[in-house]
Amino acid sequence: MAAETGTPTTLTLKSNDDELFSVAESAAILSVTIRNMVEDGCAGGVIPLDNVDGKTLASVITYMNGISAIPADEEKKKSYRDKFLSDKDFETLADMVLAANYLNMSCLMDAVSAKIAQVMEKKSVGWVRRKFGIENDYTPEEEAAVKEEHKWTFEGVETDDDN
Amino acid sequence: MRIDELSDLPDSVLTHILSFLQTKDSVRTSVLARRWRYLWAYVPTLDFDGENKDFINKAMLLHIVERVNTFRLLLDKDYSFHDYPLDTWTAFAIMRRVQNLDLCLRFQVALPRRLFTCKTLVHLSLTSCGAIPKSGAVCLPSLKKLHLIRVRYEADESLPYLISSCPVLEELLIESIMHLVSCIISSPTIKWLTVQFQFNRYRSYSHDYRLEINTPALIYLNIVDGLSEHIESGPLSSLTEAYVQVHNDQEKQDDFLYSRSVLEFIDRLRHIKCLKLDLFTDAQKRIKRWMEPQQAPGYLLSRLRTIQLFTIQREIVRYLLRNATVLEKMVVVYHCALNFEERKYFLHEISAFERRSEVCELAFVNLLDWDFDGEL
Repeated sequence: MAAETGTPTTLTLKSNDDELFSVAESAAILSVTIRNMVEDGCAGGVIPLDNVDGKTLASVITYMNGISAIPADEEKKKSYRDKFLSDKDFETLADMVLAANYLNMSCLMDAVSAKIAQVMEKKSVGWVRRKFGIENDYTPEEEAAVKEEHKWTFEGVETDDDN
Repeated sequence: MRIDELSDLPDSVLTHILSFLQTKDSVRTSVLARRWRYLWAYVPTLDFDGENKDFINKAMLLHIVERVNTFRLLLDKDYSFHDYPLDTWTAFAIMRRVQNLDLCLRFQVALPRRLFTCKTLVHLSLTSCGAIPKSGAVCLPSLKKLHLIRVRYEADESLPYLISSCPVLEELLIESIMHLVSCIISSPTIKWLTVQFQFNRYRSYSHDYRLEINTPALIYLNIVDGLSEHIESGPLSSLTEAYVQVHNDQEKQDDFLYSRSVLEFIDRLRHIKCLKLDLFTDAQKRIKRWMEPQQAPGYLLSRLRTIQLFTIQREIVRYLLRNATVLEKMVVVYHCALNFEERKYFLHEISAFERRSEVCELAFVNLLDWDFDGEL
């Protein structure tokens, strides 16, 4: 259709807090979930995305538009992704990875996951707990046992007091 | 749902995040909290970088998930690996339907043969390993991306044999051909090709080096070849972008044949829009007996709009200006070793050359002032 009329098809996406967004179909189909809906002909009206809030969806759409404007050049796409994620805090990243998972957007999912993983790299257990607010629910005895069991993985890790 | 901490994410997302960590870091998350105790064992990636044999065996034994999408093994240079059960590890990965396999073996362990018949492999990257077989069972029906970096080959036939066993291959990267004399790349499916053959002073030079490319579906080409005296190519009608560095510094057997082979190769690039051509050799060494086709075909270089040319070979400048019909810009980057008089003479000469494209702009830049990261 788009090719015949010369105007790009636009889709309307609805977040779970009822915000509406217009986005070019060519950009939106980066999401396999949306692409399947379009292919099944369910995209005529408004596409409800029940697992994504307005703030996150706005961000995802910015990404969709940005990345689809870049021609097939992996280097450039990668540097766009790095820049796009550079100023995001953990809360935003967590929302994005969930949205990417739900929308089935592997490139965004991989980029956000890699970014979170990068923060954990070679860090001590104590540091990762503090950074990501992970509550240690092991008893001291259990923790000592698990640590002993995984002694083989603690070489070359940054140490801190409660490692 | 508000995510306040990493543990609130579902298992499938957490294991995906852990798949970007080296296995050592991923196993260590067991100690974080109960929720994390066994998560790492469900991560579909095994990534070892310099760990010892016991570590690797242990991780494999404890790994639960039925699929290993990615298996990466980089041997540390400080260990001795002759007792590495690489064959068993490879079997482990293959049985778990590995898709991405990345091995860097520092030539310490031989490549297991079973690797070459893995049906699930999509991306294979081999660094400092060998040898690629020249015969026997080789069949990689799903392989799309193949990287061969400092890899040994049983014989010259090994490379074409391997490539012909990859029916859906799209991307090929070859860096350093080690003991190969002729490098033949022939595939109807390859779209992206990068070839890097630098002259290595630890090996003796042979006049027989040749590069042959027969890849009609190619859209991207990046060649750095400081070895071949003979470059040959089949039609490249889908190719739109090419970075070509051909600068063989060696005394050639026949300048005449060499220049013809380079020009015939350039002639194959006729559909490209953008070309970076680097023919720098030693500043003073020009090809003395330059030969070009008497009759250039009408469609030669008919789409070429921009050229960056690194050369002091005025004949090639003349040839391209005379034959590129819609050229908008040619940048000639000259060697900094040229003295003032030589530069003046070179510039004077090339500005007088006939230009087929009337709108063509010509720029003349010193290599020292050249911005390599600048846009074409």
